[in-house]
Amino acid sequence: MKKHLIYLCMFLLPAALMSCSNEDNEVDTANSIFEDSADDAEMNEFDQWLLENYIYPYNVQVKYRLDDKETDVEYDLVPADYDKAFALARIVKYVWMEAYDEVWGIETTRTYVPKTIQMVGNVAYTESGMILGQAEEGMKVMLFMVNSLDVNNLDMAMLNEYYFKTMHHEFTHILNQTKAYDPAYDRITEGDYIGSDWYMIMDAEALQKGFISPYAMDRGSEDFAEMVSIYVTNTAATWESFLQAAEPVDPDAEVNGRAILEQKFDIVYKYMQDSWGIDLNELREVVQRRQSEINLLFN
Amino acid sequence: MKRIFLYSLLACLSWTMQSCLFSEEDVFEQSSAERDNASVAGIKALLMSAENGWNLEYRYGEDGKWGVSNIFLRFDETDVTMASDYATGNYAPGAECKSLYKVQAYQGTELSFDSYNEILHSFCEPEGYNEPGLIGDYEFIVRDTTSNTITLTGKKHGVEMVMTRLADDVDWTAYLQNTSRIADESDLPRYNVMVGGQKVGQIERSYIERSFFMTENSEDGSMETVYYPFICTEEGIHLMEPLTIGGATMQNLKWNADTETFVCTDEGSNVSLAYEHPEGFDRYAGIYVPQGTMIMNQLVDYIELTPYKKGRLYSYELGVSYSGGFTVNFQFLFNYDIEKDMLYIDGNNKMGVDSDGESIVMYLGHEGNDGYFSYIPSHSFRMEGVESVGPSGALTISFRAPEGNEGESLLFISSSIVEMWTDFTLTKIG
Repeated sequence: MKKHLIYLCMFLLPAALMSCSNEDNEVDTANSIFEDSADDAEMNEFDQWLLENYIYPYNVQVKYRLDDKETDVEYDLVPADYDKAFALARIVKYVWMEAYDEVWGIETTRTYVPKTIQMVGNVAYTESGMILGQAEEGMKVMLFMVNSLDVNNLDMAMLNEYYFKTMHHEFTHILNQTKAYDPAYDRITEGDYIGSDWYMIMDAEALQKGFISPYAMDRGSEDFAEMVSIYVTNTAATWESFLQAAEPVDPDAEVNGRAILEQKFDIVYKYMQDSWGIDLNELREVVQRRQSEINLLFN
Repeated sequence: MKRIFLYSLLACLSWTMQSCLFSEEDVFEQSSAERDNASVAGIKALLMSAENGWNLEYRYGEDGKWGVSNIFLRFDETDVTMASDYATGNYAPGAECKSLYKVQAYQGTELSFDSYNEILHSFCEPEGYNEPGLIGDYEFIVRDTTSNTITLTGKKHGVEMVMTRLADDVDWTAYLQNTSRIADESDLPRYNVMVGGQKVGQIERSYIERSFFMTENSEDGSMETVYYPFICTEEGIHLMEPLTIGGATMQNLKWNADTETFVCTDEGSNVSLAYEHPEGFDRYAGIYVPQGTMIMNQLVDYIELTPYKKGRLYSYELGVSYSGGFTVNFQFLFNYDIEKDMLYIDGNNKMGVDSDGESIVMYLGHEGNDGYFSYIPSHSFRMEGVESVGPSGALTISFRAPEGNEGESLLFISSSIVEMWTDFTLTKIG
């Protein structure tokens, strides 16, 4: 008897919750009210190019118009210039995405490449310096300072510092977020990470302590990303000059920057090789070759 | 028994949840999304309907108080063409710049200039950490429209601005070059407020920006600067709010460049603002011998100060070729303080360009033992000049580092050069 009552209640409850149909207000699912909205307005040349070069092959959306939903309102950001954003999108594809395509095939790039690239005209100023790039959860990369790009006078050192290094750096974060690196890495110079005070350190001092750049002293994950990005964006000779600058001035010194950097690089190299099948030397070669060919993109 | 009671309660509860037949009348005929769409389309059509475009009274600075620039805008389906009367390092008033814009539903209906435009975004770009620049907006919420006006509120800073339809016969370039000229000619440090020839007060004019200001005692006894922003018009200026000093009220004034006077054109008013040139300003023109430790000492025997901005600034210009092959065009600016009748160096001044065309910036800093220079990353400092009389009776001015930074020198930095001045002193010789 009891059970019957429960069943009865269970039967009655959904019946009671059923809402009544209202034929006058049926939803018209056949026609979207957004059909004629601004998003469907005529695509410009850049939009069309992005469709063919980013969306179809990589399923990546490049937002070259500033969208404040993608950015942090705490910073005073300005949008990217149309022509400069267009030029940078071509450079990014050639030097970053296609370099990885060449090393591990387009399928893998497609899988791990961040799905949104937001371009910003200026930089985000913080107490500890300028933010040149950001990667969030492997989904989005922000590229700042687009308006500083001078298409008619491409300066490799500047491109490296502001864009290429940033892109490889952020992509390394994404790879790290997908497959973790050996935790032993963070312990090599565990006591020397200084967080946001890194901006007060000079390049030479960082090298002496076994960090490839001052920013590497922020924390382990930044250190790792700096190693990859600086390695692939510099020639073998430049990398060697960094290692030499890291050698202790005083032969009896306890800290040997060069030895630490070599120990760190060993882990970095193995990680990229074992986890991702990337030979960093090959990647560097490809990146260097492609960097030297950038001018061909604009002729 | 208790159970049956509970079950019946449950049953009763379920009956109360029954929904009813739709019988209420809609307040709006269309859904909110449809109304959003209609608003977006309506505002876009309104923007495009002005063939000669719109004049946006663009307010900038803290609470929009530092000044107002005329920005002309002409919209087509995807692009906006702008021109303004506000010069920047890369923009001459009257010239046109094109970029993209978007009208979208967001917090109401939003007008967003979301690709870079030199004219608009130079008001919005910060200069560094805690240095917000001119605090302008480039995303606006549409508050109100009529066929000839659109009222906007800046999305980030909340300043209200009005956009007015331009008449078809307004020549953009001529209009904006004229208002820019008025802004520039009247950029004089201080005006006397005159009523029928009688001085009743005085007011300061912001350097470059379009506002007057006064330092007033606030309620808590501290001094605060109160701004009175204005926009330049065909003949003079229009103050955004009426300004009253010494009982004299004014809002619209006509500029007379010959007499350097603004005459109030409000009905029945006999108020004018007359520039009074500070006599002390002129005595600083001339040739000086620089002293102190300077890297370029070996290159420079004397420096000549020439008036750069009437009543405000002196400049010293110099092209230097350094041994490394760098050539640098320095332009040192010295500010004049009317109250103290003395020169000072302002950290905000631009200092010319190096051979790569990159600007040279000035900081307070020093050279460390390791040969590296370190500096305080802020432009908000002032080095006061202190006058003394040299052995031969010559005017001598020593520039003192600000309190708290006594040990620091002046550093001039670009990507290719560093120049440092320590214990900088000028002695007048002619």
